Amino acid sequence: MPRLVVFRGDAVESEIRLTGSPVRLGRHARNDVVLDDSLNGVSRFHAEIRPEGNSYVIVDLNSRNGVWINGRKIKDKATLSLGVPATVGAFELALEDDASGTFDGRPAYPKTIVSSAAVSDTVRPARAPAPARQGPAFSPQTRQILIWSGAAAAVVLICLVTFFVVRGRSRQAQVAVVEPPVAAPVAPIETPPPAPPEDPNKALNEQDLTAAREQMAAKDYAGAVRDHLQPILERDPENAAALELKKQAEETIALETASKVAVKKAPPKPDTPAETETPGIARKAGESYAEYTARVRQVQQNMAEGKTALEKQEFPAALAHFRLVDRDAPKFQGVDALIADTVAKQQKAVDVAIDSGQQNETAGKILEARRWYDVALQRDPASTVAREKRAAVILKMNANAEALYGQATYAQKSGNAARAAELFKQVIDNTMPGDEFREKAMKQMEAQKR
Amino acid sequence: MSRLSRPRRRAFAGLLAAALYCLSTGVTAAQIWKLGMGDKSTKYQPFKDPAGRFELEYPAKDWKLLPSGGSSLAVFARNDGPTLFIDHVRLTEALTAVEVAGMPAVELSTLKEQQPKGRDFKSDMVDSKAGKGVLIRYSRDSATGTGPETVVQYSIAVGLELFRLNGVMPDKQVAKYEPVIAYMIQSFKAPAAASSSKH
Repeated sequence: MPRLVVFRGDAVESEIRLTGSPVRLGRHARNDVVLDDSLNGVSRFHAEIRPEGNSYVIVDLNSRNGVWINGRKIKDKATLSLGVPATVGAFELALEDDASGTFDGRPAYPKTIVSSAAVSDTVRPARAPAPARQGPAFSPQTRQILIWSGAAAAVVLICLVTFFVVRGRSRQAQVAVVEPPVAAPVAPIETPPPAPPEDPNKALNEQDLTAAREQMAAKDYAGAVRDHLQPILERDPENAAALELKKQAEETIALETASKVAVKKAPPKPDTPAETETPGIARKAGESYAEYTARVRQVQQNMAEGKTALEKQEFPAALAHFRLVDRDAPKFQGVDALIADTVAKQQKAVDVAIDSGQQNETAGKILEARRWYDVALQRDPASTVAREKRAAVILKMNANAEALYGQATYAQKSGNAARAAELFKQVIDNTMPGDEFREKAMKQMEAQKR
Repeated sequence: MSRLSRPRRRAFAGLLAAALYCLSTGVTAAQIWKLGMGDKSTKYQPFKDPAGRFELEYPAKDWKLLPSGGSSLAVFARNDGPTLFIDHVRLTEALTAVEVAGMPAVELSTLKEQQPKGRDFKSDMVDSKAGKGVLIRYSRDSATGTGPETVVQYSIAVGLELFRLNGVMPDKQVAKYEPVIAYMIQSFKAPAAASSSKH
C-alpha cells in the first residue's frame, strides 16, 4: 500500500498510508494532514490526494500558492508518481511504495500535524531521485521572496506611474490658468521617485518652446507669452530661448499697440474715392493718383492763400501763391489773368505810395515820406523807384538826426540839460527804430534820467 | 535950388532915419562882422586876462575895464553906454565838428528863451582868430529904461572852454559902436585856439 511522506527540506515531517480515501492537506486543523507553515505558504485547505484508478492524484483546492510538480504549477489536479514529489508551500509530498516502508495497511496517524517550528531532525530517507526539473528550480521560500519582491517592485512602479500622471495633469491645469499662475496641488508622494535620467522640465520646456513658436508664427504673440513662454520662465527663469522669444513677442506686441494707437489718432479716412480728376487740373503722365491728389490739394491751397493775401493788399505773397498755382496747374481757374490783375493792382498801389511819399517829402515831413516809401516797397520789394526814394529820404533823415543830435550833445556839454533833453527827444521823434541816432539819443536820454 | 519947407524937411529926415534904421536892423550878422574888419579909425590896445584864458584888443580911449563877477571874465564899457561882456562856461567835453555845426541853432534857441522880449534875431557862423564861432544879433529893450538896444553875441568854443562875448549898444549908437564891438570880438583869442582849428 503506498504511503505519502511529507518532507520539509531534507527532513521527513510525517508519513501517512494511503488507504484509498482522500487525504486533505492544509494549514487548518480540520485537514487530514496539517501543514503548519508560519510563512503562510500553505493555504488553510490547500490540496487533496485522491485515489483515481490505480494511482493517486493530488488536487489543488484553489490554494493561493498552488501545488507544484517538477517545477510546474498543476492545474486542478495531477497524478502523483512514485518518487516524484509535489511541492506545497515549504513542504514536499512524495508517494512511496509501502513495501519499502512500515506501511501496515492503515494510517499510522489518523491525523498528522506537521509544524515547521517542530522540525524533526529525522533524516529524510532515501528517495528516488527526482527527475530533473525543467526551467529554474526555485525553492518555495525563494519563490516567496521573488513573489514579494515582484510585488514590491510593482507597487513602486505603480507609484511612479501615479506620480507622473498626477504631475502632468497639474501642469496642464497651470497652463490653463492665465494669471496669476497658481501651482496646482500635487499629491504627496510618500516614496520619492527614482532620479530621472535628465531634467524632466527640459522636455516640457521644449514642448512649450515649439508651441510658442507656432503661436508666434500665427501672430498670437500674447498667447505665446502667456501660455508657453511664461510657464517655461517660471520653471527656468534663465532659459535663453524662452527669454529671446518673449523679448521678440513683447517687442512685436509693443509695435502693434503703437501702430493701433496711431491709427486711432489719425483722422478717419474717407472711403477711397474713385480716381476722378479735378476740373482744370490735368493728371500728368506717370503721375500716381496719390501724387495727383496731393498736387490738387496744394494748388487749391495756394489759390485760397493767394486770394486772401490779395484782399490784404499783400501783393508779393499773393503773386507768389498764384505763380505756384500757375506752375502746378497752368491756367487753373484763370490764374494767369489773376496774376496779371494782381501785378496791375500792385503797380497802382506802389505808385500811390510813392506819390504820397513825395508829397510828404515836399512838405518837409520826412518821417511820413519815409513811411510811405516803406509801404511802396512792401507792396513791391522790386520797385526801384521806391527803393531809391526811400534811400534818399533815409539819408536826409540821418543828416537831420545827426545835426539834431549834435545840437543836443552841444547843449548837454555846455550845461543846458533841458535843451539837450528837448533835442534828444526831437531826434527820437524824427527817426525810426533801428536808426543810428535814434539809438544814441535814447541812450543819452536814459543816461540823463539816471 | 529950391528950399524945402520945414514940414517937408522933417518928413525927409524921418524917411532917411527910417531907411537907416531898416538898413541897420536888416543887415546880417556876417555883414556886421565885415564892419569890424574895416574899422581903422579907432586906436585899440591889447588886453590879456590875468589868468591867461584869453586876450583881445579894445579901444584905447574912453573904454574901461570894469570889475567882473559871476560867469563874466571881463567887462569892457564906454562911458556913454556901449559894453562888452565876456562870459565863460566850462564844457564837459571838447566839441566835435557836428556839435560845432549845431551851435548856432542851440545858441539861438537858448538866447530866445533867455530874452523873450528880444526880436530880430539873426545868426551866422563866422571865423575869428580863436576859431569858428556863432554870431547872433538881435534887438531888445534896455533893462535900465534907456530905450531899445542892439546886442551882438559871439559864442566860440576853445578846447573845453566856451566863451560868449556879448556886445550891447543903444540903438541910437549902433552905427558908431557896432564896428568897434565887432573889432573887439574879432581880436578875441584864447590860448587853446590852435586846438579849435581841429573842429
